[in-house]
Amino acid sequence: MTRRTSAAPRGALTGILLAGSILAGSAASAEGPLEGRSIRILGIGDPVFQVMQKIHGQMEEMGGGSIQLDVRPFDVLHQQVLLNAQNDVSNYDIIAVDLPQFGEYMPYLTDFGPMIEASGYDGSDFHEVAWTGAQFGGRQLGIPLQPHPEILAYRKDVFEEYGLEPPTTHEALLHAAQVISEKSDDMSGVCWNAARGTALGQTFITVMGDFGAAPIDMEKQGDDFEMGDIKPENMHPTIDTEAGKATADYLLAMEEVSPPGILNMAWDERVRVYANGGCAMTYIWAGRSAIFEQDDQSPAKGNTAYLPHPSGPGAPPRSTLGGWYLAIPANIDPERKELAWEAIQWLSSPEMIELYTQHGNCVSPRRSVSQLENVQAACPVIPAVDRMAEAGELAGWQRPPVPEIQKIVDVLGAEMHQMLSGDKSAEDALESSQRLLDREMRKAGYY
Amino acid sequence: MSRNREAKRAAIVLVSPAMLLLFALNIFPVLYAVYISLHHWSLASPNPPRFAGLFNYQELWYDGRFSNSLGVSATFIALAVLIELALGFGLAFLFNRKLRGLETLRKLSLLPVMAMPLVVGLVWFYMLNQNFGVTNWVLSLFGIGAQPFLTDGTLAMLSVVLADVWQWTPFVMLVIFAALQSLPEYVFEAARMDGLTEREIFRRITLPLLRPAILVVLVIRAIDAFRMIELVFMMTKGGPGGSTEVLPWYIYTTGFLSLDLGYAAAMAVVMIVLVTLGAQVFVRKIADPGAA
Amino acid sequence: MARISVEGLSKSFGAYRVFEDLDLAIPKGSYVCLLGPSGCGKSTLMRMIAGLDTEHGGHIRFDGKPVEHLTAAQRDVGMAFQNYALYPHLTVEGNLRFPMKAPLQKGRWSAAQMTERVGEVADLLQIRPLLGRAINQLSGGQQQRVSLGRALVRHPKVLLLDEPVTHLDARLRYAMRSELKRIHKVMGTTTVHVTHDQGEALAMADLLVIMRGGRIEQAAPAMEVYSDPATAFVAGFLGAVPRTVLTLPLSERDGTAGLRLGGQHVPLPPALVAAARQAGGGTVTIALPASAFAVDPDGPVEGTVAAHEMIEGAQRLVLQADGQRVNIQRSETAPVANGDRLRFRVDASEGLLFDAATGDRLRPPLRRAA
Ligand SMILES: Nc1ncnc2c1ncn2[C@@H]1O[C@H](COP(=O)(O)OP(=O)(O)OP(=O)(O)O)[C@@H](O)[C@H]1O
Ligand SMILES: [Mg+2]
Repeated sequence: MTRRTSAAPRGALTGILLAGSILAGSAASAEGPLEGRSIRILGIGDPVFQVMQKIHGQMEEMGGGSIQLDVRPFDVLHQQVLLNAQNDVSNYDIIAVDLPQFGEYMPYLTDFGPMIEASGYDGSDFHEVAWTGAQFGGRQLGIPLQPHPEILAYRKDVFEEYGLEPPTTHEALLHAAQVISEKSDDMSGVCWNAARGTALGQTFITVMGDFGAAPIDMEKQGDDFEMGDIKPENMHPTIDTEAGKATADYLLAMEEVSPPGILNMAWDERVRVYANGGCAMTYIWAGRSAIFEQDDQSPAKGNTAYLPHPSGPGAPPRSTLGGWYLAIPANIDPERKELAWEAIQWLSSPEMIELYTQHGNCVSPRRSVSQLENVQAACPVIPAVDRMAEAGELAGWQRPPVPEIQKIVDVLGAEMHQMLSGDKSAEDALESSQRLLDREMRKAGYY
Repeated sequence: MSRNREAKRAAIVLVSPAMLLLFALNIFPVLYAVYISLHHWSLASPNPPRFAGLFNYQELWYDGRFSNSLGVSATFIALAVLIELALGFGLAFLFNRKLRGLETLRKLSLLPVMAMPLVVGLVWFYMLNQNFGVTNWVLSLFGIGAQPFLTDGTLAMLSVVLADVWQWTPFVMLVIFAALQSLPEYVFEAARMDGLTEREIFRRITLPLLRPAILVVLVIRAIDAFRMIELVFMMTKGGPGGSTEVLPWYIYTTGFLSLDLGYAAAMAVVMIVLVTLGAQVFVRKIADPGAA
Repeated sequence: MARISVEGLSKSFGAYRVFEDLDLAIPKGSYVCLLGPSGCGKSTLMRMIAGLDTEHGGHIRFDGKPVEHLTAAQRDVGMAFQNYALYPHLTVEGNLRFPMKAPLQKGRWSAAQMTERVGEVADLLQIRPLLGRAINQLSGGQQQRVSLGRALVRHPKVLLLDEPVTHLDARLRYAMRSELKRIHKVMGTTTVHVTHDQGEALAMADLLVIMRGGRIEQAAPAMEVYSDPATAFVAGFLGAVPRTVLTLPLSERDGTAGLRLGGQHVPLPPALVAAARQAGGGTVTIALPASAFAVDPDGPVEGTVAAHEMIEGAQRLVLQADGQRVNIQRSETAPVANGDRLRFRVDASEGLLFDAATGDRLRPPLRRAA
């Protein structure tokens, strides 16, 4: 599982390049932001870091220094970030942080505020929601690299063929899925994350957001929730509620119009089944649309339209914003802090974001990049997400940034899977999730 | 007297490095796990660990998911080990025939043992997957409809067992085969002189003589099967429902995903106790020469 | 109780030929001892009679009926293996009981009879206190007795004992010998007993078979083999002080025929002269008892001491003369050292003559007629 950049050949190549540039009067190193130094990054096995791995050699040349990029699976990364925080001096200059993890990592991250001020950095090119998503208590804890929402992708051509309306609501989605499952031989209605554990747990809380509800009792603020200041009394779980029941019912209804093996389907698989024409719709993290948009063999290429997460009755459409930020560990060697900041500016610069989109990462948090023609051609999802961002349809409260978020996801991922496999009724699954999480919160000492 | 004491002191000096090593490598981690299990210890929480007494253990008692995972583990161990033993046994006897080509076949049959369990899990996940899987495609050639190999409770358990059996049967075969090869030929001659049929020789001579090897391989495989986590991780994530959630996978999700180290440690301690007790029973049986 | 005949037996292990064309007749109810140097094929022959090894040429018959197609069990043979072959997972009692529980024995033994029989055998072999022990807790000699017991316990038609008592101490071995003999008398079981102990063979055998290199040198009653060996090998093989076997050129002196040893003429007695005439090539092999030689400072032949040892009140010497070894026994003991030169006398009157090329006995024509 653990992937590492294959250090030996690249390292050797870098060494030769470096040696060459020193001999040549350090022409190359003077140009790159790394200035011949080496930067250590702890990343995640998601498209953007996979792209960095793919074009590692090119990036080192551009950066004018060596890049040590350790790419880890989600769970391992999570654990390593926490363990690294216990060290006296951090082993990494830059770490990847998932949006909902900021709550948990808050004590371990460096505030970018002073650096931004000193260097006159301008964050206004980023989507408002992406930029402010990493602000906690007036501190900027991360710079957006790959923030993207979970949205719905559907086959325009198929919907046209059957005369169906775009699936903007749960009702419309279920209806369309029903029709397609019945009329088509080998195409199912909708693909989604129903595999046990994290996959299904995430599905539950993002769908709960479709009903305008969060998994814990946070303060309402218009259609959204106050996330900057979550107090202990906000930690009561809100699973066994009307919204929770509606969510469970929706999942059960979707199960009927899903492809075979749905109970074991997770992130990669749902997109690939959709890409192969196995289903007419799929929930998808926007950046992953490159899997079919950049594959000439896929029937979904060019035939896909994008919508926010379909909403439940009476609720506005809200897509969960997630994805990866670059952050600097609080325990970084002070002498390396400046280098880390230089590197982050470079890695999140318009040029680099553009470069990533051309290699399979369909995410642009920068308006300037989203306008580019070649970016829109490679990633039709980017202008769609841009529109959602402008319309205020992206939000992060579905996954509140609290340390217990993973526990919530895990409990729901286990309980709801029992419900979907018919071992438990919806009521029982909701009741026991509520009870288990309540116990968990008490154990953690919130109330 | 003083000489005796001197000898004793020398013995202590000589043995202590080994004891220290044993302590550092074997005993300390277990003790540390016990220590953690007595605390509210969450890596996710910025608060320092606090003492919890037996709280985590009491929690286990009421945790339906824990008891379920114990049951699932027991089922998995029983199925996997019994099937592996039966198949491995049969193969060992087959390979024990001195036929041409069998030698090469036997060497080839060992390949699965060398594969990484994670890779094995991944391969079987893709083979049994309902959307891309080759297995269902092959079934469809025979006019059999797609089977929910990984999403039906019973089938999912059998699928994980199948992957384990695929990987570990050759190991069982190898151990039994080696034992068979080392059986004294003349004892079989004596039995033949005493007029036993081949079948009776198998039942009354071969089996009892293979007993130690069988028990050893049983213990090794059972403990190994108890620790199995990779196949579940790759193939089912413990689903559907909790029907393939073996204890190690529950420990993993608790300790590494939810980062509740205290509770995960409590489960790990229970697991260590169970393994030790179970192994004791077998080891005693192996050591006991008279029991036939 | 069967007559066993082995006819034209041949056997090879790969390229190595153990038996070429072996014949042996074992009368019904006899006690046969097989004697021969290590590796001559004794165990192999036993295994083929037992039916453990059926890949061979020639025939084996029990009471005239071929048994090649019969399994070991069907031949009803009991065998004590040279390496014991006890069942390691059973106790001593389990081993003794085992043959009686075999399927072919079904119904022949009641549980009580089995117990009784095991007790009898255990008493006979003095292993009753060991009945409950595991096999790996026994000494070599104890294992050997269990192995013997297992062969005896079910009264087979033929008993094959491959060195059944070699690992016992002298006293026990002696007791066991007479027990075996007694059992044989009572039961009359045809028995083949392999041994390296000549005393044992002479004492026990009705028929003594001497083997060498996969061939049978002589098969005859024990005393006959001893006193009237059929080959030079047999002549030199038996005896506490084996006969001296010398291959010497024939010579004539003063009209008397004789042999030349160490440049000296050794006259032959008239009885042997006629036999010596049959020899071809001018040489002959002669076997002489130890009594034929005497150390004598005035003796005609000189030899070098190659080995010497003391036995009860006597001294045994091996002298090297003419490149051949001479065994001498003398009652007076005198200090000697290897390499000393001694003179001795030779008296050929007790000699036996053999063809130097084939080793076959040369008998005077007269005696043969008689
Ligand atoms: N399985 C076998 N494969 C090859 N050669 C064998 C085998 N068994 C016996 N031999 C050979 O056959 C010859 C006869 O062996 P056998 O065991 O019959 O000797 P033996 O007379 O019983 O000797 P000992 O007195 O030492 O027991 C020996 O040269 C031996 O090396
Ligand atoms: Mg032998």
